Amino acid sequence: MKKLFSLIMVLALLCTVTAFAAAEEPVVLNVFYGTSRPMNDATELTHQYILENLGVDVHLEQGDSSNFNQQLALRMTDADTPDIVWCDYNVWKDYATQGAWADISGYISEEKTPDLMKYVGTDWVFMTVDDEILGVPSELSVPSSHVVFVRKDWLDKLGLDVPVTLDEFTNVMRAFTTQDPDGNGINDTYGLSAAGATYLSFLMGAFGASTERDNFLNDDGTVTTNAISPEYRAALQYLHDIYAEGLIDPELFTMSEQSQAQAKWGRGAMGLWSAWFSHASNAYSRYDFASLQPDAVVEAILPPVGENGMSGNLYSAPFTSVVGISAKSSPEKVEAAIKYLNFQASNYGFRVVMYGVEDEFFDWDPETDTTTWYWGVNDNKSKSGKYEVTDMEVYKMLFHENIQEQTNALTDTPYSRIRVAGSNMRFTEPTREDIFCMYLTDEYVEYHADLDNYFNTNMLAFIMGEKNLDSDWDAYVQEYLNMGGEEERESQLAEYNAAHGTNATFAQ
Amino acid sequence: MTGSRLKSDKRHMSLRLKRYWPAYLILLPVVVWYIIFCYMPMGGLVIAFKKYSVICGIAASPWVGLQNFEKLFKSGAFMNSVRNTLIISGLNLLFGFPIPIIFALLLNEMGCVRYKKVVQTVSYLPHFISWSVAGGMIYMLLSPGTGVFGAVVRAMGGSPKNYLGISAYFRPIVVISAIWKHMGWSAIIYMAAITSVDEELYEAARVDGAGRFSRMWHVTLPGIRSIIAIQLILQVGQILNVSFDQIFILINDLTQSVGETIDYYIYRVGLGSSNNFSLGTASGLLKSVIGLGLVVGTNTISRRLTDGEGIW
Amino acid sequence: MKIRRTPGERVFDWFNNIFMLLILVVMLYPFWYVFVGSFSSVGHLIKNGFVLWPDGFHLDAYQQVFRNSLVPTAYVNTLIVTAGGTLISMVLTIMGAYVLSLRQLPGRTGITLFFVFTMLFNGGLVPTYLVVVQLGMIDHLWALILPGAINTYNLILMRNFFQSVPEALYEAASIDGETMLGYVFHILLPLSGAAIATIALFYAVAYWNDYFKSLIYIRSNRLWPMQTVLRQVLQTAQMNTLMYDDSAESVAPETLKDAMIMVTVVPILVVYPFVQKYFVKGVMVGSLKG
Repeated sequence: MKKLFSLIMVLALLCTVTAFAAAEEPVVLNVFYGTSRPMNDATELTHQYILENLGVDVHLEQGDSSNFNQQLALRMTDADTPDIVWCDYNVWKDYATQGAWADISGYISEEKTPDLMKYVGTDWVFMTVDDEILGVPSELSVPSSHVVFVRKDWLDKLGLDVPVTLDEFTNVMRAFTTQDPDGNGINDTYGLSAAGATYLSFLMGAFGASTERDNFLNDDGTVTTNAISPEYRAALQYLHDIYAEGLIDPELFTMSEQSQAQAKWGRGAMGLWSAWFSHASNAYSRYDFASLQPDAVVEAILPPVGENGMSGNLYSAPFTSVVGISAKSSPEKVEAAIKYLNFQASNYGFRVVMYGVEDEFFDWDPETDTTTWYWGVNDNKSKSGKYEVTDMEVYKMLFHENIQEQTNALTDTPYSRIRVAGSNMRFTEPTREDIFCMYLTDEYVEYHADLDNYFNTNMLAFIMGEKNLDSDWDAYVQEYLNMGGEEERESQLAEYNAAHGTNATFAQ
Repeated sequence: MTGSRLKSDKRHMSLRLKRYWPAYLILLPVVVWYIIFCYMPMGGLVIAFKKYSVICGIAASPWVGLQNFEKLFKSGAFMNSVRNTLIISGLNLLFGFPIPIIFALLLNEMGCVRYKKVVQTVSYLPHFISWSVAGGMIYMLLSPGTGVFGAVVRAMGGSPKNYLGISAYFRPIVVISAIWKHMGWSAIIYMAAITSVDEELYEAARVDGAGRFSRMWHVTLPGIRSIIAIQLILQVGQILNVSFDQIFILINDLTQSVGETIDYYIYRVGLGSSNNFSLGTASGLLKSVIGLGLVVGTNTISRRLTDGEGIW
Repeated sequence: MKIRRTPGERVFDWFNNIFMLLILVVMLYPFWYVFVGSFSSVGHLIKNGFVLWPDGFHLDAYQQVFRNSLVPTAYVNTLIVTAGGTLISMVLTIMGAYVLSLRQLPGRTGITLFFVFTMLFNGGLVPTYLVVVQLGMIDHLWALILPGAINTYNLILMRNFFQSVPEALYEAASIDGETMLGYVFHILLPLSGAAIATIALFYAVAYWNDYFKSLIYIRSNRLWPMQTVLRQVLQTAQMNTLMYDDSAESVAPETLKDAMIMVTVVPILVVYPFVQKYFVKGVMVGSLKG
């Protein structure tokens, strides 16, 4: 009896040991996303860190950014679909309706995944389909990504102040165009240039409009559809006037690449540049802007304020990409995936997937939440000098916009100054929120391509004077609503009202 | 000839089979390849009549009948894109087709062999420059502020316009840039064909007192006639395919109404809703059917005009 | 051979030579621009737009390409696929083209249509992918060769070249005891040098430039061909200049794009003279007839 008991005891012990050992066995997760980043010895350290601390063995499969949707579609037809997929919101949504993603609602909670809960906040609502939570949004948490840059040295030369109101902006553009700010004796400069009409949104904001098919919530609770609003019409009139006067670069409408606008900036072709927040700093790092324009002083400025006190640059959606977990993955894998994402959502974990492991690639003071980061100093070597620091972000899927810029102000160079200024401007400048941007209703999917096209081509036709606002506006509005615009916005309003428990209507 | 007599004689069928049996054996691997890589996947065309779901798979996706086609035909933008494609392709055919032939003929007439080789080698270089880089060059060339073209116009007293933003210029820009990019490469096949023209015919023509042009017209051109016919038929069949990359890099909102092709339309519509495989397949099927009709048509015409030259 | 030319012909020669010079400039300049760009600093290109000479001899762009640890294996992969693929393609194409060139072959029209039909109709991306999966070729270099092994366009062109060789030659050869394959190898192919060189060039360039197949069929990066690695280099460069921007608004240095074109095109340039060698008149059918 005693023998039997001890035998049982030994067996039980053995079982516990094996069970324990089994728990130690790392869970392999296959991750598929659409950017191509090199993996090397330095990124392998991150891989090891995740393996040792989370018990997750991450296998990365990288797609090609311009063919990713096709690649993903093929991978999803496979028997061995990837466990974790990081893709655009609309693509995720499309697969969500096809039942491709695992329901993670049973795996997330304040107790189990506090960092993830804090990170996503209220945006779970957009991840919920039929009471199932099917993904984790990669939060952008910046109100805008477009920033206006000005040549301060030109302003000083012409005796002008940094413009604040729309009228002041117009005057500055006029002076930049006609008063030869670069002093070369030729009238070869423009007030404003940018890579595409969408970068004119900062001017439209002064009228309470934008360059996109946005829907704005008014103070009285009604909703204004930008594409057909009187505010948008007034903004078009203004843009038409300054275009006809020759204050904006006509090539603004035909540039196909950002590099073209950046090259113009490098040649000193314009005094105001509406751009992606990082492009003014990129001009220093990409082609040594400082030697091409040695006198240049660049500042990031707020968009103009209109007569009614309105102002705003183009609005950024709260998130544009989502991490989904395959419905074919086992519960163990789903659990491991959530653990991995929770790690990325934490302040510390984010730094690991962003910079590399602590002590080698960054030092962190949790008290003050400051990071010392070894990129751009130390001859691009890690702290010990053993590793070259290049692109360390191969494991990162969740963005943390707020944290990153604190680390950039390491050295005081023109590059880092305008880099930080541009980045911070995103958080300071006003935007007009597009309240429907996350509601991809069936009607939206059905009509948006034709509506986008119709809206964009007409915007340019009105600005460039091919269409007349007085005579063609009403027909434009009618056609817009007829070709699906009405159905689309009604469906989005219904979904918006349902989600917010409101009873909003469209403004007349 | 013996051939025509044999053809009319059914009794000789068995004789021909007996004679040609090794040919079928040689053909076997080729046919197997076609079955595996072309005909087996062709079943996938059914998704043109389905609402294809990647997760369900081709077989299990629900049938929707002609809904995808209806959607295409209902869209004004699609019909416009068909029109644009036909116009651009037509211009490509009208100018882009004969120019490589003329180029090959002129190249063939060059006296200095070394010079000839250099020209030929250089002429196909643009073929290897991707459209994204070529597009950047075209932009630089035509930019009113800094472009070479603008400088020329200014020197002649004009004021350069933003050519890439004017719809009237879009199609000429597309056609000319395509000729620039592909002329040399397309000429290679004609150069190869010219080498197989019988030298004795030139001698005979020379003896008859034929000049250079007369020899070019009466010997060289007929000598490469069958290759020209084949090329023409194949190009006509591809009339609904305009290089997507080229349009993608040159188009903008100002030129969209005259520049949007079928493939670009499908790309634009599919962009918002992950992958619109069904709609893409439906439009592809339409293109294929029209292309088939055109190939059969031109092949018939070609056989009549050229005494039997055609693909079949 | 020197022949006296009429004044009209001399004028034509002059115009032709000048015209060709024009063509030379128009065709060469863009390539020259890419060449210069690959050795220039980005600032030089930005400032001057159309440049004629590099500002010094900058190798940064090339270093950026070759720093990628995958480049050596990628070159090997591309060479294997290009050489092996061209060989397989040529064998299949010559077999198909030869048989179709037999005007008396029973069922010839039907077989031709069977081939030509696939030029107009294809099953599309997903079904083709599924076939490749079923054949177990995912993550094998075979997947980069076999699915595109025959280009019907090339096959038809080849057939036409073969048709210009008189069938009487085969009859004569078979009387001499040659088998059909023996005839193809000993008589037909030596007679079709220009055609074979041209079609082989078409195939080789297609294999050399292809990136899409490897994007969808190859998962492990040690099997990536050159084009795929170059795409990664470009995308990485976009990331690096942005550092944290994660958006489509990214910008890669022009010099890098230029260097990448040079890396891809130069090997083809080296090969071309060997192809051109076959474009010589006089070794063809005519001289053999007599």
